[in-house]
Amino acid sequence: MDISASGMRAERIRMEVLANNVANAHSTQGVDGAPFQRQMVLFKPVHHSSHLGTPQSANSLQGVEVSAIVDDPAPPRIIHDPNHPDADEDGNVYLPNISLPREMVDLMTAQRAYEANLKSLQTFRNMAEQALTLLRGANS
Amino acid sequence: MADYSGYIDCAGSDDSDDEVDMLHFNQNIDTYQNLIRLSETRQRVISHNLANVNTPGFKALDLDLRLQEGVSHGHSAGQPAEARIIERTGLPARADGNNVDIDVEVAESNKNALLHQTYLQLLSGQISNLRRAMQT
Repeated sequence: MDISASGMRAERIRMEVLANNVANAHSTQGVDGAPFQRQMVLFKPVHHSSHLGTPQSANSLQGVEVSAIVDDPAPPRIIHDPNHPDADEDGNVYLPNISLPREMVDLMTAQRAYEANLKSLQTFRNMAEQALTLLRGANS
Repeated sequence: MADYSGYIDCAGSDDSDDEVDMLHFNQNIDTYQNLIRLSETRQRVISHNLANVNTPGFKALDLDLRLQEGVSHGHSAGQPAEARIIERTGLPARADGNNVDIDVEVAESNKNALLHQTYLQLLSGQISNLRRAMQT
């Protein structure tokens, strides 16, 4: 159950970051005056075993975690618009390195993965419930 | 891959005198218990795969369901309380090195849940048989 929950949490964080990217698709001024940079979420599988590679025991599997949220180093998009307040002396405006279709596709992937994790959670819940009916039978 | 038939074969067998029959009764319950535990473990692994469906470089995992050596049929059937984990083979990797197929995992998850339910029903049948025997 925790495993599915970790998956749902990771996908939710990813969706939030994607939504932030979409919202800032035209932010020409980021924190340091440079255009907003597209952010990416890095996922990492979690298991208890100390060494990397295939974990040995199923009980050590812990799902996934967001290891970092990093900026996409891709260069900004440049358009020529001398009337824009943020245009430089040549009339070029630096827009964030975000392409909406890409974000949308990522969003759909995240949504599908979220649903799959939810399904897995429900399946596990059903399994546990069915196991509990054994107890109910014992008391009757 | 998700075939536990190797374990189910071990249940029930040939001894005929009453004392051993009683033992077999317990043995069946043990077998089902192991199978149920095994399918729960496998559900963990499938959940782990699904949680990592977007992790670059992640390889889909599965349980090694072959009968482990040193386990004789009929005794301590369905042995592995802790089955070994292996990487699932034969799945094409995506561009990011991840080879988790979301549909395969969901299908395996459903199949596994169904197996789990079957074992639970069998176990519950055994228990009610036992209870009936005690009541008469």
